[in-house]
Amino acid sequence: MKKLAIAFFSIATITVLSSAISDTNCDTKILKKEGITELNPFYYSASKVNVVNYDYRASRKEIEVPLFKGEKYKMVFNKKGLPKDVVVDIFDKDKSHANRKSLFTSEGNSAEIISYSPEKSKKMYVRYTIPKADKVKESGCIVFILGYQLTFVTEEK
Amino acid sequence: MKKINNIAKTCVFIGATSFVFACTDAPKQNETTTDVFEVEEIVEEAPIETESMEHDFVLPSPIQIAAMFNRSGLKFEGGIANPTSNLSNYNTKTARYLNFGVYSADLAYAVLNSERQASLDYINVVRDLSDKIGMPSIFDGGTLLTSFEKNIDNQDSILAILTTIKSRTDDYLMENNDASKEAVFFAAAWVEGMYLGSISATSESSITPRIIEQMSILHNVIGAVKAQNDESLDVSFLVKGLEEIQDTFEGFEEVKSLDNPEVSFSDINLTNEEITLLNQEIETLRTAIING
Repeated sequence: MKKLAIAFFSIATITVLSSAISDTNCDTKILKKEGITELNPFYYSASKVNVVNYDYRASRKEIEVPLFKGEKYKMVFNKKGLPKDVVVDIFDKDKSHANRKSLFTSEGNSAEIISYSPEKSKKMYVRYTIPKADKVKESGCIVFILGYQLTFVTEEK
Repeated sequence: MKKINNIAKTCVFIGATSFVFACTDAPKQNETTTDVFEVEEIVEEAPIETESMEHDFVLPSPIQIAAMFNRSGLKFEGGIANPTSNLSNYNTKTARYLNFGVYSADLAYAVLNSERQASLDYINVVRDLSDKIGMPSIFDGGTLLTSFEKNIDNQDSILAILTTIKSRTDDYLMENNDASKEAVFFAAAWVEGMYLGSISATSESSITPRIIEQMSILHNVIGAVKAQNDESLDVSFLVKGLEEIQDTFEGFEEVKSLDNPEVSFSDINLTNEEITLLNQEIETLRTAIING
């Protein structure tokens, strides 16, 4: 009886813990994989998974993205893990600059996977605008994948 | 005995209850949950919006940095990368984590320069360290290593494999709620990459602007290493070394002009003395890392 109780308790604990991790209805590995597919022919550089909590008021979150001069990039955002759309904006400067320029917005674009390839590469700032919840608190996740064009010089051996 | 039985029964009840709740699906799209908050207090007219104060950023790929240096003329020189024979010296968790990053940078350096044997040697030490760190999954039980060896003469395939290793490392850390450790790998790879680049850096060489450009991410690298929360990793010397590099760089006259928003890192020109000073700081930290 004691062994049975321990077994049950262990299973329950593990299950509760793992359900807490995936509480946001996100399989980030699959979402990331889908995003990487969209990068082609760019190479995977980095990714960022953000848990999005819809609260009683709208909120914003910003991510700094270092892009090196003369390099070519593609940014992919997979929004399939979101129960409500989040607007993605990309700016040339951080939020402390009132006169910063908007380079991209997803507003009006209902696609679940969106992408942006900057014409000029310099440090950029991705902003997520999370709308307020509709009476019920919800959560989800957004996956951002950065890709770069890999070019290099080799000598014949 | 009766008392034990009662405890056991209670455990079964708690366990079973938790199990039933845990098995309930996470809320799907358009589904409601029981977690309802009070909405009466919301003043619709007021523009209620909160801005996260947390500074979030992504770190670039060390493979890309190596490729940028390669295009700027960085050639392979035997003996300057971290020798694979040092692997046996890395017996602490910190040394393994850091030199996983170092050897990853050396691997990219070898692959981009079509150094067949060096590439094979470095992929093997990277794999060895990934096993020791507890990330064998990134090599898919050896499948990726076999594929690497098979495609050694096909540079595109090899680089695709390196990218897969990077992506799987990120996946592994994310799945284990360990994403902050990416900063430790990256910082060590960054130091090694900067060290390799600095070997041929002079005020005239085309690699120097690329090295200076890398300094633009150092602030974030330091922040990310400081934020990693595994107390069993002793990265204080790494933070100190990175801060010293940053202080040295920020002390240069030209760099002080960066306060002007119209000046970017790519406009900075350093003197040979300044480059030497910067290189010395990088070499000092790199030596501390590879000495384990």
